[in-house]
Amino acid sequence: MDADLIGRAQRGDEEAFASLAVAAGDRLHAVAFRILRDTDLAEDASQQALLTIWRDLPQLRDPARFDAWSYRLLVRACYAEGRRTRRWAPNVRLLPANEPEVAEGLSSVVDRDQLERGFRRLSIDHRAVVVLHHYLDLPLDEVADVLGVPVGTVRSRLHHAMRGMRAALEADARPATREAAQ
Amino acid sequence: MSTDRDVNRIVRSWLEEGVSALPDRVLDTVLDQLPATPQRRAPWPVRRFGEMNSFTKFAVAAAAVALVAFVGVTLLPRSGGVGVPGPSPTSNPTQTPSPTKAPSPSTASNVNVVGNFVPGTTYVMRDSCCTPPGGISLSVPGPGWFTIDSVILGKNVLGDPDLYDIYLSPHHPGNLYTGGCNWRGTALDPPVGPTVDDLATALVAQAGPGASPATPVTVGGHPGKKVELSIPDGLDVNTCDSDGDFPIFGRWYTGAMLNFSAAPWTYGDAQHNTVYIVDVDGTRQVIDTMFLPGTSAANLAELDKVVASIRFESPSASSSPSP
Repeated sequence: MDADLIGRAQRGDEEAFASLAVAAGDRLHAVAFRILRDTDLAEDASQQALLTIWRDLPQLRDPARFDAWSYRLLVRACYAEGRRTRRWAPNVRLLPANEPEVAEGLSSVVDRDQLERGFRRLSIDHRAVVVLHHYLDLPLDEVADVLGVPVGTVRSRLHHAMRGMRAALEADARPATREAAQ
Repeated sequence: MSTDRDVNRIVRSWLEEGVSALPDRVLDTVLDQLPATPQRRAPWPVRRFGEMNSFTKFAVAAAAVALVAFVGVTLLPRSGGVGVPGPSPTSNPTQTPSPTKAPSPSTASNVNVVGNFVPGTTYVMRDSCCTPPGGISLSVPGPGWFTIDSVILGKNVLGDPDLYDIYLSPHHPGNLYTGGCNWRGTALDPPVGPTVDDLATALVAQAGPGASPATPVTVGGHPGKKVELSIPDGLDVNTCDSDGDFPIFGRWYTGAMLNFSAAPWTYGDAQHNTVYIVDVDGTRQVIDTMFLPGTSAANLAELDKVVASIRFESPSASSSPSP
């Protein structure tokens, strides 16, 4: 992100901030949607995050950290939206990882609904790690930096999230496989 | 059997799908709210003097000496002028109203100073977020007072180097929350009226049973009301709604900041705020002061003295600084 733009916006230049918001708005919204899985909630979170960025921008001491800092504020906004709406279960619901494997590979049974269901079972904490790592391609240490938690915590959350996704996918696939065999 | 790599690949592919563009109306809404959304400087001392390296300490010290010298040379010739340590101000602004409304002169060097305040020197806080156009001038009675953002003046008195333990800060409340700890989504309806009494009455009512009534006060020669507010005993403020950074026991918000920001800032359980609501020539001005349990009487007296030193500067003072 343009350090000059950031500096001007930090000093209250609304036009500079508008340029920043245009440049950052799409990627923030994309991340918010992927964490929240709801267009309306994602718009609310994006709006909240952008206003928070404007409000707190003077506190950002290193413009090079703008991206990571903005993601942090966005994830917080997503937490707030999640708490406000409570449209999903707040905690991870892990399915046993040692259940019998289905015969077929995931690729034959995976569809969007299964992925959606599996992902919605995850907490916002776990979704954020998955999105930051697998969508934004942030390395784990940067994910930890964004979320303000130790790298070990990120690693643990990612492990549990992906295990939960896999178990959910396979569990969702099982009835279809059974029906197909009957 | 599927491998972890399969799941990663599938999830990555799936995450690529879906909306990416932020709708223009959302962006427009954000940009429309900027004028009513004051930027906030860090309300906590992120980096203090003790953490600076030697060069920085020297530079800051040199700047402070230069500032003191400049202000001294500039103001000393005036008998009884601002910046000359005189008789100690009264310890309680409610008991001894300031005698005049005369604005204090300001110089370019003492406006929105960030750092440690030198006792006896007059400083001016001036910010469209929360002060009159000409600003608020004040002085501190002893060492240890500092600001990192020019609109919150505080002091560490309980040993926590990262937080103000007592502070003073100007505000322009727009409306009140009704939820207190759970302030998000709550707002006084109809909104609080525009007068000093409107806000004082509403704050007392907001505080609930047992709250003390607002009392008359004079600050900087202007009449007003004083309201005492405490976070309820036994409440863990960490359970309160957060403004994005910290949990806050929310009492008011500014402009279009509903559900977005709350004040006053909360630094601990059982925090006490004394809120001065002053009529400054027809405009309502709030001076919020805060202390945490355990603060000594001496430090509370210093806080009172800072309030007693307050003068509200006229707009002309900001455009034509005194020599």
